Order: sequence, then structure tokens, then C-alpha cells
Amino acid sequence: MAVATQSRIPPDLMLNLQKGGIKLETERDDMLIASVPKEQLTEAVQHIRDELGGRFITSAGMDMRSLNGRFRVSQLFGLDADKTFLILFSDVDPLDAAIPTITGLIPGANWAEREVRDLIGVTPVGHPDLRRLVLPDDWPNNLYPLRKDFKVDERPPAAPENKVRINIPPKDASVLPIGPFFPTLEEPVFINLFVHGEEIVGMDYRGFYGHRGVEKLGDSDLTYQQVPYLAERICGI
Amino acid sequence: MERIHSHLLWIGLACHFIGFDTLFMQAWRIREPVMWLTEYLTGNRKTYGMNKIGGVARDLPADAMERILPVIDKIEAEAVRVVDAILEDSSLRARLEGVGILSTEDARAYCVIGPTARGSSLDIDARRDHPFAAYDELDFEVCVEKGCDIWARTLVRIRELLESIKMTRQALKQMPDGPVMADFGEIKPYQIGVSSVEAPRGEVHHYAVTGPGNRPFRWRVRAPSYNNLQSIPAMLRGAVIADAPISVGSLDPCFSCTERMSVIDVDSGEVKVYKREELLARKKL
Repeated sequence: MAVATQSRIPPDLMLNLQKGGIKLETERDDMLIASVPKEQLTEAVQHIRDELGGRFITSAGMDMRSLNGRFRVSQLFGLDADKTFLILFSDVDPLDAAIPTITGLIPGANWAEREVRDLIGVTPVGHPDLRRLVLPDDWPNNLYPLRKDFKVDERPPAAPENKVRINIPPKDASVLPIGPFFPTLEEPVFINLFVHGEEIVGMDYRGFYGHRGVEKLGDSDLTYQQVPYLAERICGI
Repeated sequence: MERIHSHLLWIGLACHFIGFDTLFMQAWRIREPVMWLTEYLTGNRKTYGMNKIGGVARDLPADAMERILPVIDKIEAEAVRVVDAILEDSSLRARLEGVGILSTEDARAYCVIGPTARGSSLDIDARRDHPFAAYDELDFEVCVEKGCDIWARTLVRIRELLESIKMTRQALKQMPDGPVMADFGEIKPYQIGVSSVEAPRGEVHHYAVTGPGNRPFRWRVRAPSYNNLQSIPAMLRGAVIADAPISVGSLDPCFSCTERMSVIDVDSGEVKVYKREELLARKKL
């Protein structure tokens, strides 16, 4: 009870978390850190979205094998009305490196889940688009650069058999490719517009050209004071 | 100040995308003194090198008030004239109103942020919702518009531009004295930290896990364009090709913000291989 009275989390929010099968691990001024078994992840996320008003921010995969033998997939939410962040994590057995997708519940999680798969190698099962997102198309299969056993200066040989795949356009639609350079801005991105005459009926997006390994560098070689210097160079505007 | 220059930059670019180059030049002319101020404050026009763990690299110069306030006043007077020109221009409005629609439901589903979200009725702003720095000591309005189109995104940025000028004034007048850096010693490993900062395009999130040896164990960054770009398919469906550039441009996207993460050697030879691969893939369609 002592903890509950000191808690700045509204009691109904706390109760609500428990109802969602979510276990609160740590509570801090502006942040709740909670865990859920991966089997209950989708129910928990639905609960956070619908009952707590949670706004999905991003996912983060982490290689914790040196600590507990697992990969960890964290989902970040903003509980804006409570001025709080919620981090919900599930640990994943490397022998079964898969986790249920949440993109069906939150379309905005599409890229974040694919990125976890590209870099850590945890597959979001049931995801509508399991193409690569951030890795180049000729990156070798089954090689995950954010795993701790991948060295920061490792340069794997190209795997040219891995081809670019563009989504199938709707029937009778023409494809208008724009890029990889000059779609409005002079930066590399490849947009394929699917059109019926002038009307756009769909599109395919391929970005993430010119990757720089910024997070890998931050996770391996840099000190705290060096990271802000690098972080600022992710973007100049 | 970052938001002032960034929104003026966007107004200029947006006008350029739709062929209104006079306003493009005017917006960028007004923006230039902001760059002079950031150079005076930080030593750099952009990529300021000010943020450090524990504080900032330099204090305000002693004459900051006298140097900055008159420039801000002038920028405000000129910005108001540009804003009036935008608001009263019927052809500009016809070009942007009802174009690049992102419904409130789609905005929420794709988790967009910043002016893209606020132009689609989503009342979110990390400066108010997750206050950082000294934003909880400033009086400001979160600018939300209901139009869900490019015009609404334009209005949000225009209002934020003027709001930011007022906030700069407030911050300067309220700036306390004191050290600008705090010492930190050894940080315990495996602690989790999250920071959310409302950048001109929306929230930038840094998620960090501390590691042994006073180095990060995991550092995850999410720039605002990462989520805003995912809403493009919803925005373009049913639109016409001529509206695609300004629609994409209305997100004020930063493609370099999504170019991160993997370890790859991007020399010119490799880029060439890419073009060929993609052309071949195209041929098969």
C-alpha cells in the first residue's frame, strides 16, 4: 500500500494496466516501464491504445543475450493526458525470434516493426509487409547489424541475389517511378506512384538510402559526450 | 529560434514547389537574420554543437538581449507582412485548400506528429504534453487546425512561427543566471531513459539504455519524418499527380532523418549498382 500512496500514477490507470495483463516494473517521474509476455502483446497494446489513450511512438529492439539470453522488443507510448511515457517490453527467446505484430492495431507501427526485424532479427508475425525497410537490398540474409556480436566495422560481402521488390500495383494501373533522386526535394527516396491517368490509386515507398550506421556507432564505440555530437549530424535542419 | 528559421524555410520551399517564387525569396530573406543570430549564439548557422550531456556548450553572451531583441522585432514585423500576403492570396489558397487530405483518423492511425498532426485536428505538442527544457515556464498556444489539408498545415506553421517569436522574447527576459553545465560521474549501467523534444517537424525521440564503461548499451532515435512519411500513401490516394510534390512537401519531410542505422559503405559505385537493380526490377513489372 505504501507504494500505491506514493505513486503519482492515478489509481485507475494502475488498475487499468493490470487489467491489460501488463506488469509494471519501474515507475519514474515521467515514465512507466512495464512488461508483458509476448503471447499477450497484442491484447496489451489494444488495451493501451483504447483504454489508456496511449499514442504509439516507436519500437526499439535490443540484444540482451549477454545479460539474460534474450532479445528485448520495447514499444514506446506517450500517455499524453498523464504527461507520462509508457515503455512496454517483451523478451524474446533467440531460438524463436518472433513476436506478434501490432501493425494491425496501429498502422503507424509498420516501419518500426520492420526495422526491429532488419536490425535485431525478431520477426513481427502477421505483419502486412515483411520487405526490408532500412537495410540495403543486397545485404546478406540472416545478418543483423544491431546484434552485439556484429562488429561495428564489419563489412559483409554483398548478396546481389537479394533483389529490390516493388509492391504489385493495382490491376490496370500504370507505374510512375519518381526517384531514387528528386521527389520534390533533392534527397534520395524512391516513390512509385500507381496511377489511372492523372489519378493516384496507390504507391510504393522505398527510402533509407545512404544509411550511416549511426545507432550502431552509438551502441558500440562512443562515450556519452560523443553521442550528442553524432546525434546532431543525423539531420541539419 | 530553430522553429522560426525552419518554418520560414518551409514557407519558402512550399511556395517554390507550387511556383510562387516571389514568396519563396521573401521568406528566405526574412529567415537570414535568424541564421546570423544562431551563428552569434552558437558559432554555427546550423548544426549548432550546443547540446551536451549535462547542459549546453556555451552561455548566452552578455549583450544577448540588446543583440537579439531588435532582430526578433524586425523579423516579426516582416513575417507578419508575408503571412498577410499568404492569407490574402486567393490562388495560393485555391492551390492548397482541399489538397493533400490526411483525415484525423488516418493521422491518428499513422501516429503522425508535429504540424502534420496539428493540421489534422490532433492536439498534441511535446512542449506542453511532456515538458522539457523550460517550456513549462513559458506561456504559449498549441496551434491546432481542423482542415486536414495542406492549407491547414500551412496555417499551423504560420501561427507557430509568430508564436515562437513571442516565446523567444519571453525566454530571453526570464533567463536565469547560473552554470550551463552539470557534472555527471559514472552512470549506472542498464538504466532506461527517454527524451521527447518537439522539433519543427514534430517530436524527436531518443530512447537510451546505459551500459557498462560509461557508454550507451542501446541508443534508439526516432525523427519526426519517420512517422510522418508513413502517412503519404493515405494522403496521395485519389489525388492527382500534379498535387503529389506539394503533398509530400507539406510534411516538410527530411529524408535524411530516415537514413540511419545500418552499416553500409555508400560510395558512388554502390549507388550505381542500386540504380541498375531498380531499373531491372522495374523492367519486370
